Amino acid sequence: MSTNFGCSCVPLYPTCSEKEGFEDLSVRFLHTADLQIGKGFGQLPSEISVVLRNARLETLKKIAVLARERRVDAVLVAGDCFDDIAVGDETLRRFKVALEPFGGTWVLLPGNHDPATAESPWSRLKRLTLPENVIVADEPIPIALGDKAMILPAPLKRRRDAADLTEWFDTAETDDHLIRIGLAHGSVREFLPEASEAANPVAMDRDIRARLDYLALGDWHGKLQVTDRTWYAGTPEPDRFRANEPGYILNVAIDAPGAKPTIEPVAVAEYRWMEQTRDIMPGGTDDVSQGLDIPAAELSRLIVRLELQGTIDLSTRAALDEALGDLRARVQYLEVDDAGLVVEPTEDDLDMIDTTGFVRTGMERLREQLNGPDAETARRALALLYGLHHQTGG
Amino acid sequence: MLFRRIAIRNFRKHLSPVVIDELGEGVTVIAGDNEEGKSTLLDAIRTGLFERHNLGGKAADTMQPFGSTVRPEVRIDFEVDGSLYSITKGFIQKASARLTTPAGTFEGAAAEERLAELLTFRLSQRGESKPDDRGILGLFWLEQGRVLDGLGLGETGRSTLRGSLEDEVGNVLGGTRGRKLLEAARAQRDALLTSTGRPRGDLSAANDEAEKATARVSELEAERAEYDQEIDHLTQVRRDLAQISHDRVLEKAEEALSKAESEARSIALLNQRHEAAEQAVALTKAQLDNATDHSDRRQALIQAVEGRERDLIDKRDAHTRLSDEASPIADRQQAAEIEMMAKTEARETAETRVVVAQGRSRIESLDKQIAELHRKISEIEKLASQRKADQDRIAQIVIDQRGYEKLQTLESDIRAAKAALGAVATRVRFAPTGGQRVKRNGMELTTGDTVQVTDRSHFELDGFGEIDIEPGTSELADRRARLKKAEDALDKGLTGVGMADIAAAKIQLEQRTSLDAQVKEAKRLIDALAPEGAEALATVLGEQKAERSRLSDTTSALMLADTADPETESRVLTAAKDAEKEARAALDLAQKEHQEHVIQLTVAVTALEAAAEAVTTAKADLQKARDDASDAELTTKLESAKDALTKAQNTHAESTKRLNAANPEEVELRRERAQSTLATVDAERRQLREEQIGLQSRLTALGKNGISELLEEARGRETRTLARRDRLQRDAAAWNRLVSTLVDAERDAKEAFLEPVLKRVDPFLRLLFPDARVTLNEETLEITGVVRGGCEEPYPLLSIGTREQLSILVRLAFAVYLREKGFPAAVILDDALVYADDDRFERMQLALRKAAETVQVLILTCRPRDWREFGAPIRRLGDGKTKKFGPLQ
Repeated sequence: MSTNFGCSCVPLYPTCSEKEGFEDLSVRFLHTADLQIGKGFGQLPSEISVVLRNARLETLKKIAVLARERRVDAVLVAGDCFDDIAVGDETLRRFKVALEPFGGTWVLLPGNHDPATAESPWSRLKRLTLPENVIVADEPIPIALGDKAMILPAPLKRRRDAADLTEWFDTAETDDHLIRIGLAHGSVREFLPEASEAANPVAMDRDIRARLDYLALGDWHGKLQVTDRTWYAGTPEPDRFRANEPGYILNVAIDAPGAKPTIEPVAVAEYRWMEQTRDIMPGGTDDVSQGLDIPAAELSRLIVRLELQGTIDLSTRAALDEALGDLRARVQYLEVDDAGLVVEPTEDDLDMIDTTGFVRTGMERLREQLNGPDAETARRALALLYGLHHQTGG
Repeated sequence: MLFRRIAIRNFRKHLSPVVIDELGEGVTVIAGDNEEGKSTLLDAIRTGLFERHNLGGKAADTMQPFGSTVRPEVRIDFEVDGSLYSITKGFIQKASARLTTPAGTFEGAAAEERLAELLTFRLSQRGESKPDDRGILGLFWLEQGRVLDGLGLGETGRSTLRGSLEDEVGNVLGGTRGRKLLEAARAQRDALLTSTGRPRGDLSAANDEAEKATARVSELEAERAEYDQEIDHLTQVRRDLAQISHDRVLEKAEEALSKAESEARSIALLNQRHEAAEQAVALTKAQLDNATDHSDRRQALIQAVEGRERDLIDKRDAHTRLSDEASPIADRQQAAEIEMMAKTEARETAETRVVVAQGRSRIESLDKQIAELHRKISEIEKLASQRKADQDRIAQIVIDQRGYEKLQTLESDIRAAKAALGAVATRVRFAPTGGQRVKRNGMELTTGDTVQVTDRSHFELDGFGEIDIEPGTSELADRRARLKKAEDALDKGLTGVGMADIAAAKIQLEQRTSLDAQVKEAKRLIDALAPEGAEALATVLGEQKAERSRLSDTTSALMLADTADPETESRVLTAAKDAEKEARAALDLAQKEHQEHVIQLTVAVTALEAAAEAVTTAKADLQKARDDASDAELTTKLESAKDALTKAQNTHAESTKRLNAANPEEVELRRERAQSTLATVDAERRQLREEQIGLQSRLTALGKNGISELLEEARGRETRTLARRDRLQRDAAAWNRLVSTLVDAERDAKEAFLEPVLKRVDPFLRLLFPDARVTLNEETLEITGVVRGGCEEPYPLLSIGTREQLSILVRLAFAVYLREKGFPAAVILDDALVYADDDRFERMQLALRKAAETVQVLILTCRPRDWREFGAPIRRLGDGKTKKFGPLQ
């Protein structure tokens, strides 16, 4: 079945080119996705999670300001504006406010995190009354962007859909002079790593089959080019320890139907997330802060996770704790996973606490237990004793 | 260390030199009486060893003998490890110190420093030496009263002892550092765990927090699940609504209903016609019923006239029969009345005869009673008269039983007075040979009899002359007077009752007694005859006489001459009454029969009249009906109505047939089904819409607060609190492990540290306290208690004696231990063991002897006899005074 969605569509908002008063067939827009407003970051301490929650709204505002400054025709959000369908009213209101700096067209596509179910952030936003420039693309119906482009959305109505919802793009008829822009949220399976979602598939050659000038995709959180015309924008504000280039939006310019789009990635992220694995050697604690390779001024915007491994003595452990404490004070948040770090008290460690007396005897007994069934408790007991020794004046 | 010789001079009490020499190994007893200067000797030794020679001030002044300014001097010769040493000190004036050693002689401060090094004590930096400074010698220096305070090791002594122990077993204790660490670890553990290992403080709070966080997550997950379910539900509702709209279910139902209703309207018309036919049938049927009813009523009127005429004949016959029965019934009643009167009269006559017979019988009885009463009254009067005469006579007799007994007493008094007089009377017996007469006071006496002379008497003796005798006994006069008084009293008594003598009085008394008996007998007889008194008898008599008179009058008035006895007459009366009763019954029967007949006759008359009336009325009714319509007219009407009904029924059958052909039930079913479908679909749609509104409203409310955000936050909190709880649990377990390991290690260390010294203590302890084991503080090395029978008794709670003995025994063991380790130990006891009983004292001596095998023991005592059998050399202080102090080199 094919449908002609020609110029009968009424432009929702005057484009910048019209305002300037001369004929211009090009279209410029910002492509972003996976804002996941309302994401809780519950695994982090509450004071950090509040900061990160607010950061996502701030980044959205930043995008709105950027759109205004660059005078684009529209901002396309390719799914997952919200982290969940059950975000609160306050979050919805703050989202609305964040859009305000840009008075041009916003096209918001429901994704797998915020599908257009019977009750969803979209139905609720509509009840809150959205301004006219904000379009919720919750139906697979073309949306005209002025008289220059037609946006073909593939909204998700449930979290996981086995069908390729972009298929209808192939048969959607538009006037020849219109630039065809696809807007979808899903997984280009043959292109993305295996860890990506199996549901909500998007055919890799959809841009060709549907004669799209550009296919704006969401779901993959890193900036990623699939084809000349198909891009994942990635999340503009990183939300996890994954080095796949998050933190960008794409500034897209298409001069005319069939013209190759020009893509300019623009970094907008407020915070940077970093994960590193470190091998700790006895006495080697200096490496902890040096290995980050980040300018000191930017440390405060760093969310860092260190996975420590190796076998160290008690004195190194104490020095390491000291170094980690120092680093923690410099970054926004530091998470340490030291499950792979084995502390083996050495003779020197024990000598430092006591060389004779019953304490020494006790330490020796604990050390003997390190090979027993409850070695961890004994190891911890020794570390505590070591700490106590320092606290009580060594 | 071995003291060999101690010499002092000018030291306090000892202005003259005192020298204790030839001190050997083992025990030496130094004896001195109180105030002889034992303690001064000890002070001198201590001063000689520990005080600086240039000591000044008050401490130095106390060395001076009282009121002197001399130079106190002390010299001590001793051996250490077989080498001979000598320390000599002079104080205050020309203060000096000299130590002679195998290696040479040292003077002044050098001598003292060398000595301190040799004997392991510490020189005081300033002023007098302190117990803490005195090293192991201080430890074994047992002065009076000090032993009870525990060992009082002193810092240097303790240090030496501990040093020695550490040399032997190593530094197992770890000192204060180890204890601090243990205490700090314990504090950390106790902050997280109770004594029973239950969570407390941060751990307890973390447990609670984790539990709350988990509960909160569950709660929010439930809310979230509900939210999702509601959304699914809403989706379903919308889908259902869309389906209804899509399938045109409502419209189809409306069309079906419309068709069914059109058919129903056609059937309604047929129904109307059918109902009209039904009504026509009903109308003609009613008309037929009406004609039939008229005809039936006419037949009923005719039959009524005939029936009532038959009834009139029956009533007339019954009346005639009753009228015939009236005369014989009246006759039977009259005969019964006559019989009744005769029987009544006979019964009254019999009653009169019974009265008369009973009256006569009573008169006879009364006559007998009256005669008996007369006899009794006469008897009573006679007895009363006799009794009166006897009472009069009694009244004349003055004497009574009491008076008589009084007279007898008076007479007895006279006899007693006479006997008393006779007892003192002069007895004179005259025995004239020739039978001459003798007169006394003119009255002749019977010769030969003894005459009692109680007063002056004059005797005339025939043939002899006269003799006057006057008894001279002084009592005579009294006894005579007593007799006279008794005689006067009797005379007076007799005169009082009018008697000449007592015999007459007795006769009178007997008469009185007899008369009293007669009077009493008369009274008894009168009481027997008239128990209620004579007047009562007279009253009864009067009454009986009156009754008799009355009865006599009554019976006479009835004028019946020949009555039988009352019983016979009564039997006749009973028979008369029975006969009367039978007559009465017969009369009652006859009267009843008569009354019933009268009633029956009256009823029969009334019935006859009513039957006649009924015949008249029925005939009138029939005639009236025939006047309205004749019997023939009624028959015609009935036939006409039957024809009309047949016609109407035919029309009705036709309309029924047509209605059935239209199948109205099926049409109605279709219509109902269409209506029901429409209603159901409409209701379903309405319900779905309502549900949709409700779900949307609930979802709006639920979604308002952002369940997903709250849930993620709660999950994060749960993860964090669980992690914190787990970490604290691990910490608690680790602290617990650390503390228990350190405690065990400390306990083992203490045991190991003290083992060498306890090994030496045990043999000493066994001498006094078998099965006991002393416990020491591993730090202070003070005695903490004794373990006996598995129980530890704290040292301060032991008896004074036990504390003293224990303190000495442990010191001896320490001394032996140190001596064995090569330290210069020696034991000095100053009047110790004052609290020991004989048995303990003896055992303590054994302990000292045992210690003396290793160390020298000097015992200062004021009770040398206690030590005499000990076998040790006893030195007397007094003996030491004769010896030479020795040159101060």
